[in-house]
Amino acid sequence: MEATNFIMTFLEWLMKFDRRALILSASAIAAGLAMIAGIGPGVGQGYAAGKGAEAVSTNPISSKQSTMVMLLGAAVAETSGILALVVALILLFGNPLVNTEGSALVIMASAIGAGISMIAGVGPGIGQGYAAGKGAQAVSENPELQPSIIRTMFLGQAVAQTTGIYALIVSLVLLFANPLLGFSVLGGVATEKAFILSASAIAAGLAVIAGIGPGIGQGYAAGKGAQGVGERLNSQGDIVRTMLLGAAISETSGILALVISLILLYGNPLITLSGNYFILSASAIGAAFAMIAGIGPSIGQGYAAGKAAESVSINPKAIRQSTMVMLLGAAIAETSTILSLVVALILLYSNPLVSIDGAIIILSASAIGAGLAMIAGIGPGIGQGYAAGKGTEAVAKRPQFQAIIMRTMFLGQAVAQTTGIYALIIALVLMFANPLISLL
Amino acid sequence: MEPITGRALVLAASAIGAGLAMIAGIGPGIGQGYAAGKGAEGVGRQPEAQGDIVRTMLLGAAVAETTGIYGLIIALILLFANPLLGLL
Repeated sequence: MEATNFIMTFLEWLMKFDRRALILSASAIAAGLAMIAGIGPGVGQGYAAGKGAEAVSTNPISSKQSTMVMLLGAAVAETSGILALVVALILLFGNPLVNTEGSALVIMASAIGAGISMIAGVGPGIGQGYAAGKGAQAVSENPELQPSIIRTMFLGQAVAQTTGIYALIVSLVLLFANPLLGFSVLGGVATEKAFILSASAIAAGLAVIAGIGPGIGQGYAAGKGAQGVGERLNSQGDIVRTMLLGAAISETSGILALVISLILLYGNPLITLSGNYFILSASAIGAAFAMIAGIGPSIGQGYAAGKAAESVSINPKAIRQSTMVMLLGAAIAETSTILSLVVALILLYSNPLVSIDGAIIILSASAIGAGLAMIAGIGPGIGQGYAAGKGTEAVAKRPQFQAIIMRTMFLGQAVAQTTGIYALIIALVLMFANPLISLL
Repeated sequence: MEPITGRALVLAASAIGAGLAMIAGIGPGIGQGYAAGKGAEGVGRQPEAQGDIVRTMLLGAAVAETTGIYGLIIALILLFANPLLGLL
């Protein structure tokens, strides 16, 4: 059997170390990875601070109120940083994996996966910080509406936290209730099954990074919602409803990524699939990479949601039209997530690469390459969502021109999809018509 | 265990490289979407200038597409006309 020997050599070298030393080293790396989440609160709270300063300079009279809203919003934006810190501290001071039974390789990978998944916290941190900034601005302009503005801001921020919570759950499952350790992995250092399980643990963490998207998008919607409530209090109900509707759509990519993560953890089809273990392991990683594309659509859809909420405050009478344009535009922005989901499911359930007779390393690299290519979907997703938001705004301002506004929006969105399609074609070529195999 | 040949290593790296190259598609996607949004906004503001607005939007989007196509070309070269194999 041809094997990917440089990796096997590395693993054999690795496995010469004491089992405890291995798990502790992986935990050290994982603690570092988890802390990357701190990017989000940093960026978001910085934005909030900037908007707070701006608000005070524009309206010095209401500086107390706007500063308070800024601080409250920034406190919420800290959540993801704290959650990541907790996971890192667990890994350092209360590491449950050290005394866990099972394959050392799978336990190491689980620690890494638990750290990687927390990176999703970047999204909620940025998004909630944006909402805090917009809330501070809105309160400085209308200090008497402070309670309604704060309520809308908190509501939107709470929604923006969800994907960060998904990531936390995946992380805690990997640390405390790891289903991958339930499989009996008999034999030597890195048995074939242990290899697939390890790749799945890392992939489960990688996939939920897609949660960055909904966090940012929903946070934007929350900010625009708070701003809209400040500008037109008597449409509060409609504004909040539109904000939540759009935020729900933005959540989809995060949920689909969570589904792939849970499949890898609880119903992993790769373990029972017959085929080379190395290709199957690479397919798990490839599927997770593909799902990261969901960051794009969810940011874009969140933008559209925010613009729709704003549109309701601009022209409450056109709520039906602006909501429809938002929904149609957001539906198109979903394309990249769906294409990525298809590639991920192909890799997991009907992997064409395992039945190809060729060099293992090329087939494995092709699985990872196919997943990497799909990350391009981030772009079309963000862009199409922006178009959906701007289209919604334009229709709210001039509802009588809905038809031609939508035509322009659709046309532009179609153009924006092209690079996502190129990526899909490369992914499909790598999986189904791989030209590299015959070159060996 | 058979050793991996240098050729296999280059081909495997080419598969990953082709995937990585496609990530460039993020840029045109964001940029063209922005153009689409501004186009829709413009048509809403000046409906009578629809033709001109759409033409400018598409012109700009075509320019924005280039780097995505460069990425595609590199991926296709890596897959179908790999020059690296000849250098081995």
